[in-house]
Amino acid sequence: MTYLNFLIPPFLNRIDDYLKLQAPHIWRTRIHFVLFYGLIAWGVLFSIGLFYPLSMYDISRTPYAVEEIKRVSFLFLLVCGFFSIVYWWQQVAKFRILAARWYHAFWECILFFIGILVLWQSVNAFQYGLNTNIAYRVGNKITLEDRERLYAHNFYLPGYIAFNTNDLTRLSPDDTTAIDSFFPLFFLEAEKLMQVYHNRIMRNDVVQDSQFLVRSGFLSDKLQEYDNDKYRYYYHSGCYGEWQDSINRKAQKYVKPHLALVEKWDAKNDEFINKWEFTPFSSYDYFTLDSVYQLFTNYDKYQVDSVKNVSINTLVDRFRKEHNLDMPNILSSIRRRDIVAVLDTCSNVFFNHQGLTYLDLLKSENKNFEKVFWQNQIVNHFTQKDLEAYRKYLTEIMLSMPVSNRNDIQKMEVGLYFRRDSLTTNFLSQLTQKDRRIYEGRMAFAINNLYKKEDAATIVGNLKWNKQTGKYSEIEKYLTKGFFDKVVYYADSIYFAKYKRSFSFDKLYNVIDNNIGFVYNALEDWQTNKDTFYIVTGKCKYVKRDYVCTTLKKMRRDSIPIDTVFRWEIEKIAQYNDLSIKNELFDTEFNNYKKYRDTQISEQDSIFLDRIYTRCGYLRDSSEHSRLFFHVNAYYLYLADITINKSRAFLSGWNPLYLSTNNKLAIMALSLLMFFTTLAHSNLFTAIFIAFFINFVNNTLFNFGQNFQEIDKSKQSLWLFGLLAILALITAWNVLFRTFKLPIVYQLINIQLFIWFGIFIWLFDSQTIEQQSNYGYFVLIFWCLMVWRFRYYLSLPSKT
Amino acid sequence: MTDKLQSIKQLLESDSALLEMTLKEALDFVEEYNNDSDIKKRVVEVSWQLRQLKKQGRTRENAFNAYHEEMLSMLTTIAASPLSIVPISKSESIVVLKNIGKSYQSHNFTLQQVNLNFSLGHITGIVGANANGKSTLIKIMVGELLPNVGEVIFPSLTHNNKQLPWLELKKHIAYIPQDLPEWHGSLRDNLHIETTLHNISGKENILRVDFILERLGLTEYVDRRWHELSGGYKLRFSLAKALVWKPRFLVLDEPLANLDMASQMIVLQDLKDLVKSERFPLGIVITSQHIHEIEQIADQLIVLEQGQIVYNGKPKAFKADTENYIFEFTCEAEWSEIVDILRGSPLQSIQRQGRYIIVQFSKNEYSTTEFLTLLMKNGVHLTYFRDITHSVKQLFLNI
Repeated sequence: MTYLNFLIPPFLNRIDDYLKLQAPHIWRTRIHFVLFYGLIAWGVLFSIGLFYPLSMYDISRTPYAVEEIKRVSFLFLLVCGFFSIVYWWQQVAKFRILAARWYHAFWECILFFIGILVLWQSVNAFQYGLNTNIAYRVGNKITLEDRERLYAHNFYLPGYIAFNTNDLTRLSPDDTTAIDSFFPLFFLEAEKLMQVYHNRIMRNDVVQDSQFLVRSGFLSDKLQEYDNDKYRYYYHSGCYGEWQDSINRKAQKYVKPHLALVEKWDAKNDEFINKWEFTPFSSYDYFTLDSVYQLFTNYDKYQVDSVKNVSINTLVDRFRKEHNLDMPNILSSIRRRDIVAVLDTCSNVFFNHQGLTYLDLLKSENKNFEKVFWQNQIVNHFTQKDLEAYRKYLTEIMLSMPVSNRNDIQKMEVGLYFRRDSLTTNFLSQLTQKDRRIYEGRMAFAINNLYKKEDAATIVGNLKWNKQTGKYSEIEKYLTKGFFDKVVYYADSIYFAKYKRSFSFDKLYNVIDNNIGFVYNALEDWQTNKDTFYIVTGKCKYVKRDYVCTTLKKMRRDSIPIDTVFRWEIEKIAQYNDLSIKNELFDTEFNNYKKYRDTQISEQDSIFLDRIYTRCGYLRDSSEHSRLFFHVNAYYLYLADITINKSRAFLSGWNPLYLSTNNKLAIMALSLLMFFTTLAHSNLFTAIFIAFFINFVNNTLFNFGQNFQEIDKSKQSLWLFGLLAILALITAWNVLFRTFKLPIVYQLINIQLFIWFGIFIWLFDSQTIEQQSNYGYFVLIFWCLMVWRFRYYLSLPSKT
Repeated sequence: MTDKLQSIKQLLESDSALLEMTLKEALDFVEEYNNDSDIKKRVVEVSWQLRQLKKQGRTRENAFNAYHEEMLSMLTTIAASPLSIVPISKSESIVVLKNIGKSYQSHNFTLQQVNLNFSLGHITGIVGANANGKSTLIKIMVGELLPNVGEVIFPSLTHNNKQLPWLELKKHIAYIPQDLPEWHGSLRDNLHIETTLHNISGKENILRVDFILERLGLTEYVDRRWHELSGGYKLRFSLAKALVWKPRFLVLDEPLANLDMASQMIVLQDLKDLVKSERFPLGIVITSQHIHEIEQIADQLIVLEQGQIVYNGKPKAFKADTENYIFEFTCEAEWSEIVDILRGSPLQSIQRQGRYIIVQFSKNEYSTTEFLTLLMKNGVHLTYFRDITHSVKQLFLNI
């Protein structure tokens, strides 16, 4: 580094001299230079991110502007980090020093790891700075209030589709007092809501707010205004004049039909106030979407009826009769491995009350059923003796089942622990203090290893809901103070950090802006443009002098002819019932709806709505809530990014591998680390071989970089087996030709190489990337031992 | 010791032209008899100053004289309280090769039944034409190559009467290959690291490096890069790296191959001086095709031919009882003229090897003076003349 000497401060030179003369193994790693310049780079990059000239326009208007900056900067800095590591490697490679003491390999390993971490974490420094920047900009009072409101109403998250009677408020038609006190509020809210719409339209806010969308629409040719890229580029470059006016004209052009409809709606304002009625699709009213779910008002009734048809009581009674067993007898008759087997099998049963119920149902050979009802029914039929046995059973599972990488067990554990019923509370109350800590640890571990978005979303939904509704008040008594909050916060962080980038979780702006009691959620997948639209109301509406209790519904945005969605919805429900019921549903409910739809909505209507929704997505009602969403999203990203590591540390212990930006980098860091340590003590070929295979196998074939992604075990096994075979050949070659005439101890050293690789691969045989990162530590320790032994290889005379 | 001191003093006082050589002797003297690091450090500094002043032609200045006096004073101080050194036995073996054999089937070469003994305090020269097994032999000695048969024993490097494993043995062996590996980083860093790796740290480390640099006359080159050095200096730096941690066994493979005459002499003289040390006994093995140069410095000479030892003994002992003179010369006269001139003289044989003419005659019948006089009388202008009567070079000339 002679030509860069002028950049080295004197104190660093002194450190360099000291290490050179006193600790050459540390000196050769050049860790002092890496730390010094790496941390300076952190500071500089963080500052750049912090003072990056962002505008609110960047943050809120364009869905991807900030993300684009992050993505590009991430890539750029990643490349920079990579080259800085290469340069570092070049410096390290100048001095290859054998490990003279057993701990030298460990030391070097740790130092190389720290160095890699520092250089690659500089990638994140900019992101942290930018996030802080964003958080500062979005942290105004209005936005934070919106965020809190959003948060408060965020009971349901994507993936949480189970019907729950607790979400409904049932009012009796005869209870006039309750009705009188309940519904006026909604009328007021509706009035307020309508006024907002009206004002917004009058101010032409929609047009104004949609300018950027329209502009970006040209670039992506959403409006199909220009027929080739050249003209789009000219337009984007401003060659067609001042874009502002142009955009306004374009926007108005596309908004005009929309405005006409709104004006139409406006004309019957009085009627709307006096007669609260949802209109069908063909009216094109603003509340069209709001009213769609009224079509599903039979759902609740249907569901209850269908469950009744299954006749849980009959089934349980039959089972007991056939086997002449009471529940305690069943439990006492099964062995430990049977419990494990049952839990394994229970992987199909999500958030159920599980083994016991499933055991029954398994015997009855009826695997498809509506689980929640069954579970409740079964528990209701428990005798006191059954309950005691059940608790013991749960206790045994929760406290003694090894928390391994079996994701199904983990899911089940989480479901068991956070299920809001008295069983969990009773269970906790019976535990000793030590067992409760075990329970907490296992719960934390289980959450820590969630890797499916549905799992995470559901957990978050459950946690929040139960927390807000005080369902955990009993449970919390038995937990470490603050533990629950941390878990909730952590789970929330995971969710937002991992999935917000691909799924934007939106609220309809009427809810946000007016704070009415209705809760409408929309889930949109911006990446695939296959939007899913959830409409949920937690309370009742008074429609046509009837009390309508609505529940969660799910449909797709781009299927305004709703048949496919509705079919899907029916199928999903029907799959829990036997075939005859399913067919019956198809024949009745679905066809009835289809018939209704066909008579009410024309193709032209459908096309229009589709254009409104897909071509001018921003021109519809999402413009406002999208703005809010991006404020909120930015804030959450910020929160998640800066806190997730702390949460992780809290839950799973300090894990620098995980902290290294993300898991993909962690694996790359791991392989680079091995590359460095191997290079330090053995030879370049081996080092490259190792680094290449680790990266190749992990990143290319199995997409390990994807968070919470399941590993394709079959493919992994195949390739790892291939790798093992190659290593076996190398080892055999070494043993036969290299150390053939040397003492047996040297041959054992060679064989040891093979054994370590076997251990390495075995450790990698785990389900999630997080676990593999953790196991990486064990691998590193073994690896260090191995490279330390490599010095014997180097000292031996070669045969040729 | 007193003799050495007197010799150094005389040289210092008499002839500044020999300053370089004298300073090297002074440094060797300090290394051998001094245990005070401060004095050693100062000697290195003074030596450096003297050499610089000499190079600048300032030998008559007061500063030069002052350093001169200081050097003498320090040497005298050392001589006044010398270390008691037990002289090493010249017969103490550092490496013993027993029935070493190595064959390469690919190029049909076999090193056959080599039994050798290398002693501390000795320079052993291994000579031979290309591809006759010199490099193979020394690679086996230093643990780079596994022999097919035989044993490599280091009698003085044992633990509990068992030979140390190669990992430990190599900590006592310095090996300088023919193709010098490139040094990365600064030269000084390389030397420091090499020293540190042999558990010499801190000030001692610095002193050792400074000393060896000064001893080999490399101080002024230490700030250069590797690729900025000539072949001779690369070798000398490699030598410094090998000697700085004071190995027990130094092996050099063809060190003279790419050196000019001056560099050859410097390197060989340095080796000859260093091997004399009784305080830090060292065994040196050097392979070369420069027979005459090796013969000048070696205590033991081994000649390899097609994987077999054809001579193993002292350089001057080759054909010690011969009754013939063998001369090798070149001249400006034609071959036929030489034959005509020497016709009638009591020659036993005359032959031409390239541009060299080799004559052999009986010591009893003819003398060197008579031979040279004959040539000179006939107006033959000699450009090269060497008496190879006891040189192993004969083995390469088919005499």
